[in-house]
Amino acid sequence: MQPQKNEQEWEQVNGLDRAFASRFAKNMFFTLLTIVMLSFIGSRFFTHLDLNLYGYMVGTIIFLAGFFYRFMAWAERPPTKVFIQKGKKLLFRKNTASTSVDHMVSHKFIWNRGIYRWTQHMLIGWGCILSCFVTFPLVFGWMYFTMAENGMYTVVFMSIDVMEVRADGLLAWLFYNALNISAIMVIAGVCMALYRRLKNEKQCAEQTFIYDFMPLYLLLFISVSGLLLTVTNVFFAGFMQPTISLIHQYAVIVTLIYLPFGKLAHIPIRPLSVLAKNYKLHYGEQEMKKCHHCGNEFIAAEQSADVIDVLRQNGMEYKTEDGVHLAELCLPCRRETRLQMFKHASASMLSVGRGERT
Amino acid sequence: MTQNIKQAGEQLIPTHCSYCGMQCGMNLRVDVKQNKIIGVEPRYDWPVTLGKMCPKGVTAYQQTNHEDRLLTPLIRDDASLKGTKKGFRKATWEEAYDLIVKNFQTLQQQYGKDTLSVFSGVSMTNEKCYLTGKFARVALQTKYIDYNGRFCMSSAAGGMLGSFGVDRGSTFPWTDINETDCVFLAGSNAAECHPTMMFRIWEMLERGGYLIVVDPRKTPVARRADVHLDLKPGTDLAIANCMLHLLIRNGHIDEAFIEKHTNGFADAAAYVQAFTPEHTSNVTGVAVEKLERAAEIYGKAPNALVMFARGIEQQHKGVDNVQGYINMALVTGKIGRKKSGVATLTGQGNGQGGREHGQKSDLLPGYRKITNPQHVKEVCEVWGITPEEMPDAGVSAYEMFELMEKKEIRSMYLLCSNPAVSAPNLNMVRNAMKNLDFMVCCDFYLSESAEFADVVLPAVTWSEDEGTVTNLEGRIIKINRAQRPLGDSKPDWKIQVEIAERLGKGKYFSHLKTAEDVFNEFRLATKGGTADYYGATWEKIESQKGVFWPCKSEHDKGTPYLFLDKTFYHPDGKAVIHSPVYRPPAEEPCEQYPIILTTGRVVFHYLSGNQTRRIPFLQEMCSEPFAEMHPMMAKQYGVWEGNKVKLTTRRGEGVFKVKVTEAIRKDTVFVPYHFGDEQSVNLLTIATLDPKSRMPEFKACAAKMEGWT
Amino acid sequence: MTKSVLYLELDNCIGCRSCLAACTQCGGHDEKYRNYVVDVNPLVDTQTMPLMCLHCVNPACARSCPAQAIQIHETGAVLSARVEKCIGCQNCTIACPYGIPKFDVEQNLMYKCDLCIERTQHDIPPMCASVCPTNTLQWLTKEQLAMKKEQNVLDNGKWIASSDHYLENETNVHISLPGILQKKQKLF
Repeated sequence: MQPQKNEQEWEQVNGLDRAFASRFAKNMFFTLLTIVMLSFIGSRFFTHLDLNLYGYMVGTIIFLAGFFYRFMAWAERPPTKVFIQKGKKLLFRKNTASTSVDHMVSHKFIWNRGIYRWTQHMLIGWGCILSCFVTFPLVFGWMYFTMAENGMYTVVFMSIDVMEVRADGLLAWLFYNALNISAIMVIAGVCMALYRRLKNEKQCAEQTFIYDFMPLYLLLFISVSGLLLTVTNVFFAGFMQPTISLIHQYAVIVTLIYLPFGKLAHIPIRPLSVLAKNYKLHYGEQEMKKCHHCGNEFIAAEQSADVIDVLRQNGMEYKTEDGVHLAELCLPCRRETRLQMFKHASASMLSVGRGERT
Repeated sequence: MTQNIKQAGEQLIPTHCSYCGMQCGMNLRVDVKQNKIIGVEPRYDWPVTLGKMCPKGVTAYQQTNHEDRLLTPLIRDDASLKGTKKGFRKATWEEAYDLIVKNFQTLQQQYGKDTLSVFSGVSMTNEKCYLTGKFARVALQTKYIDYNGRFCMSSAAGGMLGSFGVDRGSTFPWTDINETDCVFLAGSNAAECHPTMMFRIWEMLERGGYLIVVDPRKTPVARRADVHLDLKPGTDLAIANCMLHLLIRNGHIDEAFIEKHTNGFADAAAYVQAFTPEHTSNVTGVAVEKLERAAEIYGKAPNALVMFARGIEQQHKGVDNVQGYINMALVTGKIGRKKSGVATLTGQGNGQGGREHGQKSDLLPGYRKITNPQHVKEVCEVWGITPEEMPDAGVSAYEMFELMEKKEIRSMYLLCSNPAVSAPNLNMVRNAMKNLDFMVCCDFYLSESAEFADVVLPAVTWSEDEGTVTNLEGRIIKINRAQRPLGDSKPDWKIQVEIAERLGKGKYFSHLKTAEDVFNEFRLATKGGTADYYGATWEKIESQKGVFWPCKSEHDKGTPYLFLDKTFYHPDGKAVIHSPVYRPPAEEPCEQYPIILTTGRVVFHYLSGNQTRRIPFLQEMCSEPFAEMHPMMAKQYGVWEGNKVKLTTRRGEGVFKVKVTEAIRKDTVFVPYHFGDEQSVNLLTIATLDPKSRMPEFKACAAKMEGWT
Repeated sequence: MTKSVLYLELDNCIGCRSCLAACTQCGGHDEKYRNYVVDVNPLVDTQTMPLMCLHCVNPACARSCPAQAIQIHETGAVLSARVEKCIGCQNCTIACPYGIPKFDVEQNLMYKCDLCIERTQHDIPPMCASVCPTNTLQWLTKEQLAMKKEQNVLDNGKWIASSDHYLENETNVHISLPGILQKKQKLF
């Protein structure tokens, strides 16, 4: 429904945009162009590309296609559009940095939901992010290592020699084992999450296998197969290494393709919560909405108006008899109004009042 | 039948609520690995309540593992700290027992056996109630034992005994309520005190039945009544007599029934002649038309129930009130058949069972009288003592405190009760407890009364022990153990057995090793009594979903309906229609004390609040007492919702927040009594006792009021 | 849809707030209740009414959610916000015409009645309706609901609140208004 509308808008565009069949095509083109250019520079004109990893490259491209498809549709939904458009303009507020850290780095709001859940989420979240930070620069040749004869490694990032580390030093050990560490983090976190779901009836009831359990199993599979690669290299002289490597690679590709469509899609959505926070703060400072009944301020005036607008676009127009939109009442007053309406139902429908029939 | 939801690693233990006489069925959720109660699930298949619970019931499980639980015995060496929470130290059971035995023995040697007293309660199983009676008489050898039912059920008991010759709270099972045609509810705020019967009352109304409520307040149940008789507190007997007058006048009496099955009608009819609607209206403040309409409805109803509660019972004429209302059923013959009858709404969980088995000063198990030599002999045989060793009848609960003041009683063993909140005239009662030479309190929390004790023994909650309870229908039901006792706490019966052994009475107690041992001895002790439990084995209770007493043998299924054969329990098989003489409340409003003060409950708390005031949800809903009054009265005194007023009576005073509502008489102030210390409205209440039931008049006294800032 | 629906008979309410206590007991509710009981005649009488999520067929909360965090279960229950998706914007609390969703500032999360989905998906009554001592909240089969309507509807068909009368839209929870007994034929 929404992409269609998107296309209609697109027919009226001019200039450079005219070169593209759709906004989707434009986004896709520029993103790929950026990646190719970065790789070109990063891998010293494609001389340091690890072609063993080309599968990931293909996976990334398909992921991007899915990502744009999914999120452009999402961003076109009326309520989402409001937050993106208005939030974008407010990005340079002072609190953006601290909000971003709270929401996306330390996950303070999850801590408030429970320490167990926070631990589990930190392990999975940061495990995944760490592994992405390692994997993708390697895939696109943005980062690679060169070995010098003096037993030192040189870390090259974007064609620049960033640092030299001792091959048998701690730092180097951390570099080699980054993916193992991240795998262990993810495995621990996923196990915690699975345990919690099996223990708790509510979780089971609300959750479906495909939506809630599959991402966990995918992550588990990737992490275990990744770890197995290390195990076979270290302990079994690379026994079955190519097969496991292939399996691991396929698992990552499948997950990438699936990511925008399942539960993991919340990762790219999360920045919107920073925009939402800015939106609430900014417009709250401008003017608070006073409840039409009791006069208490309950939300930013702008947000009340925006919600009314969003509902209207959905064909919903909830008004009281005196023409006030219900979104202009605070929540207690909205409940009170309804119950008073119920209460007077009998009086208005019967000439006889209630009371004792004595 | 609705299934329960069951989570992995959990077990559902079917049991009943710890609180009121409804004894709603519930399942406790138990974490099997930790052996810990973690929640509640409805018990949909319990026939009385079908899974329904009030907010107290839903949160009842939170008592068991509450942070306030007493986990070890406590001893206080400094007697000057009595009446405070201070000075207690943790002790071992041995140390506590030694101290108790030493003090009990010293005091008894010095002042005689009867210097000890036992003050008990009925929010515990039959097993515990039974053993407490035996403990007092056999182990402590004192005549002074009584219980908090004197503040609760004793008027109903006395009234029913007088009218029917038997005291079983209800003559019919509760499942009849929704099937009858008229409920006459006197002095009961059922919606707040017995909420889980409300769906039956509403269903009765929905079928086209009638509801008549007698209450000074327009409570949530009165709100939907067809007739609400909003009487002046303490004038119930006039209403009852007027109803009788009108039933006779309207020709709604069943002469054949009266003739064949009752005595005393002629006298009663002559006496109530004077209670014309006009006269009654003057006395009670209820409109004449309402009185006439109420009598007309009850008289015409094919089936009808008369139900009453503390409102009419907690008066100095409580027994007469009960008999007055029972007369309505007797003259119309609306008793002794299904869907008709009489019931009191028992307040405490085991108010019924607890009063039948020997906790009352003059009663022995099976509703036997301690003044009847034959009864004494029967019980002595079970107990293994001689009739000479059986102490005499003692005095009632409130009178025990009077004897404590006079130093006639110097020591008290208190369990399952919190008289420092629930007794009337609290200034005197608290002083009496403070003056005791030695006091022991068994409780699972440090109650306001425990603050007066020298030794506090940690008891278990209802969920950590098993046993039977008799609910407000007279149905014997089974409480099941869901968790092992927390910390060092022990069930009351075990504590009593262990103290008895240390008092050298082991041979009467040591064979009681489990709650079921106690139950089996208790069944035997009731055999042949009025309240005969002999045939009610635990297995039968479980398989039949409760057994109504009397249940006399293994093959007896119990007796859900009383008097179906129209035979009452008086020797001649007839019921008695009494002619209760009207008298006003002991204290009537005067110039100095112009307001009527009445007390009662709220839905969120139970009795003295010792349990419910510790539950966060219930505290959130109602954390302090309030003085409920009519807007007219509030304006008259220049106060309004949220302000504070000081209420004063001849006995004490208290400051309460004002709650304004038109749902109360203009001359009456209502304050709930669940609160401790200076928030106790019982500091103000009057202790005039009913001559028969020894029930204090909680429901009406004269007070004055002033704004408080 | 499940076999049964939640049905409110407002006149029965006695204000005991068992439904609130029960709500804290429902799985995943973190001991926080999500429904309401309101004194509708303060200072006058004891009349109270419960109000909970009515589980709209086309819920405004979900339509106003930028993150698509509010999902509709196959039984028709409008679920509480999915924790991973909710961005804490509070749009839903403003959009709901009945004022139901609650917002937890600390957790940056909206929460609302989910009709005890782990129960109701198996046709076990939700906690509130299970414990309600007065049958204000009932869990009725479609047939029972039809019977109720037949019994309670006046000639003008107005005793059940609907999108035409007293409600904004079509809801999965059915409400019978106070006064249902007004025209009840008395037994005698």
